[in-house]
Amino acid sequence: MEHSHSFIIQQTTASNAQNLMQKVQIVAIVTVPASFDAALEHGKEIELPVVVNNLDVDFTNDIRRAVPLAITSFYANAFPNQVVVRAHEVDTYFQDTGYIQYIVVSLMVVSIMLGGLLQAGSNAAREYEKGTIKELILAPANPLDIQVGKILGALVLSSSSVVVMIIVIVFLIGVWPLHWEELVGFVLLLMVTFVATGTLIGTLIRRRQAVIPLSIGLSIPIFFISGAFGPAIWGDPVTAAIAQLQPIYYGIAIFQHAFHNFTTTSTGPGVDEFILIGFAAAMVAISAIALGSSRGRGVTH
Amino acid sequence: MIITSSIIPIFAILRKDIGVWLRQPTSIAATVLPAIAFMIILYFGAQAVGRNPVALVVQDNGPHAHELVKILSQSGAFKIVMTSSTPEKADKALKQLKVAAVITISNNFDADYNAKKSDPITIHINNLNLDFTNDLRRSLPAAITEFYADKTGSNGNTSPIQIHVKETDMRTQDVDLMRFELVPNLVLLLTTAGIVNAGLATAREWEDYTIKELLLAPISRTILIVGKLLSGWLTTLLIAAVVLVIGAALGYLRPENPIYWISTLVIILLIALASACLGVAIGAAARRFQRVTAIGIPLSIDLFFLVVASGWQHSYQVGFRRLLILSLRSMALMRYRWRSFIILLKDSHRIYLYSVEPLLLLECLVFCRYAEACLYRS
Repeated sequence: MEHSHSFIIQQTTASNAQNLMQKVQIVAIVTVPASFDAALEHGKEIELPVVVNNLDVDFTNDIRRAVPLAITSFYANAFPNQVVVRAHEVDTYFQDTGYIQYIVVSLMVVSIMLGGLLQAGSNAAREYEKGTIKELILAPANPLDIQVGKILGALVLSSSSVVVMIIVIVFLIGVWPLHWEELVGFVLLLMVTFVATGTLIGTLIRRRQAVIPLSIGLSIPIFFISGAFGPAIWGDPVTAAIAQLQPIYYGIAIFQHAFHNFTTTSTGPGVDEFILIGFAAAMVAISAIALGSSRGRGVTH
Repeated sequence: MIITSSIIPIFAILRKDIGVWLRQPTSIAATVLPAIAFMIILYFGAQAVGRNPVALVVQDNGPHAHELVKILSQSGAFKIVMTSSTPEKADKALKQLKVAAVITISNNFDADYNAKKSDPITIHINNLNLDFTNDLRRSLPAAITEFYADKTGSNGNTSPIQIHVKETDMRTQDVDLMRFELVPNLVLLLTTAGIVNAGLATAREWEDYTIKELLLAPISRTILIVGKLLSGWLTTLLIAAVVLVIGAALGYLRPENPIYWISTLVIILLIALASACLGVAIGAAARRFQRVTAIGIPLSIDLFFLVVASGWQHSYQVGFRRLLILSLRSMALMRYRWRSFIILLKDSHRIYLYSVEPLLLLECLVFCRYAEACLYRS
């Protein structure tokens, strides 16, 4: 059971196990009966009591599958002539990647998204709140130039947090990227994409009070559906289809490639990169159009 | 007289803050949308969790191979999205990420089984994430276990496996993932909405420079704080009520016994109040919208992951504790918020109620005192 990839085993007495169960510190109690060895030697049936805290079907099913798995593995090792059917595993990658190592990369992407949206969204909305947008709109400058200026400003401001985050992930947590050059390029690409998106949101919503919680609040669900925990296309098809419509999905994919050399989308990292460039260009253009329409309609705030 | 003189300014602050909140539909949307989006994601996500797509290559037509295929097809651990007799198509699907694994039953499966020779079933796993990989690692041996268990009934032979699991469940029925995750989602909503609404309403007074008038008014700081937190509390409860009613109507957020509605509502009221108090404290300390959201929302999200998200409480808690628990305060918050979550999960651990209520009230008191101290600094 200790080598079944399923449990963290804690050997204890029955009363202590009950106590731990009551405190929700363990998920199940497996009791190996006193007559286990003797019954096995005589080929008698053995009943293995398993008490499960079926609080969440996800955990419960893990236990329900893992205990029989441990029993079959035990028989396959102890009586190889009786239990001949076995699982032979072949892995695609040389070594397993831990959950933390995988998810930290996804968290990095959502942090870049949040930083970009918040910084650029607040900067854009502040122009409307303070009334300084009038001066920008009345200035003899192209809306595209104004928005590019705002994007570059937000880009510089959010870069410090990105650098800190990379230092934490790489040097403190120890998730080392396999392709440094990809990481640098992808960080810049994602920053431009999300800073441009933030500028667009700020230009459209015009209130920091709405821009900030909206950016943060919507980032979380988007993060969940975009393959943060594993390839999104292995999940529900509806969610996977929605995920493919927004940049976080492609962002996570290219970052997983930069860090772990993984391919997590059916399109592959090369195509994902071009899709993100398209997103970034579209966001810059749409934010310029949004600012241009402000000029056309006049500014109200 | 004293009560009336306190109620009037509290009511005035309350009316003003709720009025401002209601006049800003984008703010309401910003608070409600994440929770609704979460619920939709949960609904779809719950259908797919733990069921990775798998391709099956069956090269043997014997009865035992058929029996194993039947068990694999009915497995709740993965979904067979492709069955083929040749490996090329399945391998292509694995490379294109259409499937997470390929299970191959070789052409001599039945012969080896009958001859009691080693009879491996190959599973080729895309092991890019240990969580998915372990699910698949368990799933095939679990199917093999079922295959052996079936031997007793199918051909009269006794199964070589003499150990049988006798499962006892602590609850009368399993709590499915959707029902389980909706509760932390509700707690997240309460925390975020409380911090954001109350925090922004407080910080607005500094942003709009109206704090001068409030501080110069002949009312105590406590009344000012109470007015602010009541408005934050009510707006938070309004949003929580929408989620709770929808959840209860659909049957996902419904206590097993109607008596547990009392403890559920008490806890919801207290978490919303504690969150609003925290929001007022952050708003009074930070005095700027950007700072309030920058502090408040990540804090509520961190608490959500540390405290209530299902997977983290067990297997990943240790790792994330090291990573995320930055202060003793968050540890304390974590302990009793987890307990309140247990109560919300309509457990019968009623003893927790007595330890949670005072702690949440203590939190309210501490945050309010802190907010008051911030006002004195003004």
